[in-house]
Amino acid sequence: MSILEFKGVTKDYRLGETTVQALRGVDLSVGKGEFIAVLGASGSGKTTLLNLAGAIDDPTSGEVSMNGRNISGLTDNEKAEIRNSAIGYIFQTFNLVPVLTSLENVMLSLQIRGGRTADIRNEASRRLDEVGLADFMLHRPDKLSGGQRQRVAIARALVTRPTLILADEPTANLDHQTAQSIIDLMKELNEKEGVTFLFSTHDQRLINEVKRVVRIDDGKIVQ
Amino acid sequence: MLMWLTISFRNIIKNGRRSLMTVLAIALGYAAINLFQGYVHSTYEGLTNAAIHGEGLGHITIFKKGYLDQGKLHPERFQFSKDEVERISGIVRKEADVQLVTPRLSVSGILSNGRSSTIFIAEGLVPADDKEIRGDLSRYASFSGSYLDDKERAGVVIGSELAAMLDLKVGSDAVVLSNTYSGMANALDAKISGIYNTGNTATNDKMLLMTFRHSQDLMDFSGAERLVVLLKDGRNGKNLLSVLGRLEKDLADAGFSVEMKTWNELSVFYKQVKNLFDMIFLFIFIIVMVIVVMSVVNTMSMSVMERTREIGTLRALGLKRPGVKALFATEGALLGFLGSAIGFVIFLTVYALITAAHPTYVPPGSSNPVPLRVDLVWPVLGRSVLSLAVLALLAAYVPARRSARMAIVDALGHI
Ligand SMILES: Nc1ncnc2c1ncn2[C@@H]1O[C@H](COP(=O)(O)OP(=O)(O)OP(=O)(O)O)[C@@H](O)[C@H]1O
Ligand SMILES: [Mg+2]
Repeated sequence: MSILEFKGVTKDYRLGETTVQALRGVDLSVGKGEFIAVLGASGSGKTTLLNLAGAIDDPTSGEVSMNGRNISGLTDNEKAEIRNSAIGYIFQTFNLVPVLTSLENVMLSLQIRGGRTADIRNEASRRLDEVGLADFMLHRPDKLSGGQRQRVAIARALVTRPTLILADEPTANLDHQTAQSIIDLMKELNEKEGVTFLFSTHDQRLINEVKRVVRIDDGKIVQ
Repeated sequence: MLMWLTISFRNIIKNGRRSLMTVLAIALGYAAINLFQGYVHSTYEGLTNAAIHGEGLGHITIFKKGYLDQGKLHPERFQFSKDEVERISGIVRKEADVQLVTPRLSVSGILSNGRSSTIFIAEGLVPADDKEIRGDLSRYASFSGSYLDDKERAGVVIGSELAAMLDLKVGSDAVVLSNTYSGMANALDAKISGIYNTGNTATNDKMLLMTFRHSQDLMDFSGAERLVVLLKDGRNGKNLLSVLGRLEKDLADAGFSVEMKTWNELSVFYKQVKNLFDMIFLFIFIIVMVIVVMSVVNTMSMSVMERTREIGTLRALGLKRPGVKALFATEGALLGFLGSAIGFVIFLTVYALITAAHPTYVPPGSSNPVPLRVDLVWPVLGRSVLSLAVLALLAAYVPARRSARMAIVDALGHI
């Protein structure tokens, strides 16, 4: 049973007079517990694909469904609820809230959902511990290295126990060694806890051990 | 919600210099509004006192119905007879809040020293009652001689400018001339028992006070023009209108056709000053409002712009549009609160300085310097904190709404 399904999805961007076809008919199915890398050159449509998968953008045509439910027809609030409950995001630029500590950043997604602060804090610190940042809970992002920041972001994505974690070039701003350790962490979480990952990269070296690789070129899946 | 407060507060601290400018603008606005309100409050208190006690208006004045419209044209038709004065006074005295009710007669005419003369406007009053309303005028610094006394029926007290014009001194003899209600000219002897500065340049050269009985003699009349009611201490305020209502009913039930006015309706000066102050306050308030709104909108627009990616991130994490608005509105309200808090400190500082230095000034239309005072009016101080916070919140709402509407992808792609 697939948790994410693309059926004939296209996405056009209008740039003044011209129209850029970022995706030209994508079919894709992601099953529970999968660990998928989307590989493609710059401008091939990786970010667009992940944005559509994450309900933060709508397709021009075709259908994106999450757990069997078409998400493009939903209202803004319904999509927000899906993003909060079913999806975890990891960004290339980490996107931590600068004025919050690691712990508060991780607590954020749960706090958006609501609940007892004490429970939320416990859950968040457990996740930070899991990504190896037990000693950095009270640090602000500007006191952390790039790799550490991305670990905080991973903990933040994990903390809501989402169906799917999306990561758009999570390692592009990191040196190779740190990048590899981030991919390893994601893989470990996938294997140990069955978290489903869909991430993009243009770095061939990082995906040698990844079982399923989706290659995208000029808005089409080529393999 | 605590998290939004944390984020807002830390962002305000983080952008210290920018926040400081906004907070100071709000603080100065707060201080300006409240210093002015405190000054106005102290002035109103003085004016209220001046009208009720100084001008001798008491709290309520009872006229015969129609007096206010036509009393000047046909004074003889709108006077209370002796019998009416007694019966109305009896009814009014039964009201528990009433301290006293006293008859008055106004007279105008000519005051002469034997060689020259000038016009006067006079009040005929019961000396003992008037002492209760006005306090002891003879204790005023500008008063020389002694006050009216029923034992000295022909004694009069006059304004110092009037005294100077006719070269009258305490103890001088004079003559008062007027027309009776039946149209006959009448002249009576008078003796200057006191001279004082009325405190108002418009009346200081005309004012004459005489005993009620003396004024009745001059007008050849045994009734009164009006009845002045003084309430017991501290019964002004809200109580005034309910007393008024009860008196109206009681007098109507007894078959009297009267009209009543409260002191603030009768004091022209009070009304003018109040209108002027209300106008100035509106003006100050609009300026403060514009400055506060503009600086908050400016600060929050910058904040929203810088944090566009953060907004995109929060939306991607599932924050709904109202949540984004709430985040920035919180920050605006917080700026409002901080500004008011600092404004309160500025206010207290200036308040302390004024209280310590007690400066004086001569207001227009007055002949004596009065102290410049500022009152501490807690409800106003509190209410302006709230209104500035709400104002700042609303000002922040404008840029917040814009940011909440932005497409998430665009917000995330924002550098
Ligand atoms: N907001 C936009 N407006 C116009 N064109 C866009 C927009 N976003 C993407 N595109 C275009 O759509 C195509 C696909 O872009 P996308 O960002 O998905 O590629 P990508 O594979 O993520 O590239 P990169 O590796 O550089 O991040 C590109 O040609 C890009 O120029
Ligand atoms: Mg991209």
